[in-house]
Amino acid sequence: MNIRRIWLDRDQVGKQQWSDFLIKADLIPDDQLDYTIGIYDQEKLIGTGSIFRNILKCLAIDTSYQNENLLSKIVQALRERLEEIGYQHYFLYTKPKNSKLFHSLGFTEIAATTELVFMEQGFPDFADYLTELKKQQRMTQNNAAIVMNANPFTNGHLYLVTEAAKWAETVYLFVLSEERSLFDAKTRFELVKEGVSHLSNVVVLPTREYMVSSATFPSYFLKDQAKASIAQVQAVLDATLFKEKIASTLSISARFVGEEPFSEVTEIYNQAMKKTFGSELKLVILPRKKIDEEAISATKVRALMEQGNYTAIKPLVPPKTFEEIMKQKNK
Amino acid sequence: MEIKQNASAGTTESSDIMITIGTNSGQGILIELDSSVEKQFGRQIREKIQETLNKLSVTDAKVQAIDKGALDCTIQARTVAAVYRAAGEENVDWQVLNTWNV
Repeated sequence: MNIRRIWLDRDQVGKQQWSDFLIKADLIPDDQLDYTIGIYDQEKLIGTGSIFRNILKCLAIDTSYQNENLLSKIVQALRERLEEIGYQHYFLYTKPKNSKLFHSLGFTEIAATTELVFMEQGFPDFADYLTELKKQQRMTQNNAAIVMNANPFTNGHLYLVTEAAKWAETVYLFVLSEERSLFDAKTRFELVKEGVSHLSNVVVLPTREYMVSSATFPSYFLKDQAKASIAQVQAVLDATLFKEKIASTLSISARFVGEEPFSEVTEIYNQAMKKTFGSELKLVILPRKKIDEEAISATKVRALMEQGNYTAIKPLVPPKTFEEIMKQKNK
Repeated sequence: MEIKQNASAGTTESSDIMITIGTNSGQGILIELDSSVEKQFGRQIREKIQETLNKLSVTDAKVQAIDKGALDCTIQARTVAAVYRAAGEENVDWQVLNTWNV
């Protein structure tokens, strides 16, 4: 029995074998993977596991080889790889019936739906994140939340926050910490903070990896490729995590989102939230703020940046954001 | 030693223990143990980890230990390795470590 790497992008035969194996194990061969290994008995693939960034994925063991501790071997090999590339904190999705197995390998549950369990290992963990949130908690009753990428922060975002701030005693405004945007996380966070500094009842917080991240919701970042059914399952998980863990910690009773007429994934996400929140948590969908009959969006701002049309950007964003955009232009 | 970053040592293979250490500034030692022999040896494993941390003068740390039936010497070795990595310390002070075994 030996473990070796499967080069999915170069080894057609290996890829086919791997893909058939996963389908037999009732998993979808994912195309969002950085690194894949297989355990072989002679030339027969009997187990596999992959990594995408710091997420363990597509783990499966041949049923006739179970009870041989192969899962532990695969997870160990993936851990070594993660450590090598600098990750000490990593995530995993599995089916509810397998979560016990991973628990015995040191993974802790973050959230679960009927279809998925989301787990993590390493520090700082979810408990640390909740502690961090509690430190910023305000002791108010009627609280709202907004989660945004703010890539970059526009007047459309500002409108959403302003509306929520009228409705709620405290607005917890979460800015995505994920580094997969044109503007880096620190800049986005600072621009949001600056942009809402005149609203005394808004608290700006980071999402770390626990909201709409590539861990909780990978399809969000690959909108074109996202298969609707996968996005649906992920959206339910993300919404469940938010409702059960985040909203309850900060006594949040409503989440505000912008209407999304263009992106299918965001629309699926909004629908999933609505369903998951049920009657316990209110979902407020606001129409987009418009200028000259056209909705303001960060996508639009980025497109204008691409075209170099800076005069058209000015009315769409707060002054600080515009300053930052000009700074990027002059780089 | 001061814990500066996350680090781990060991595996979840049988007879081994995986020790993950993270910062816990000013809040003492927190040991979270998951062991296949928790009922029989849980207390002893915790004590061994705590004792090793004391010897290395680690005062604040979060420790996650996944034990698969490791012997005391293994527990100690894994804890030492994880602490050194977490402290960013590359040179192991063997002289000090050797004095523990007298």
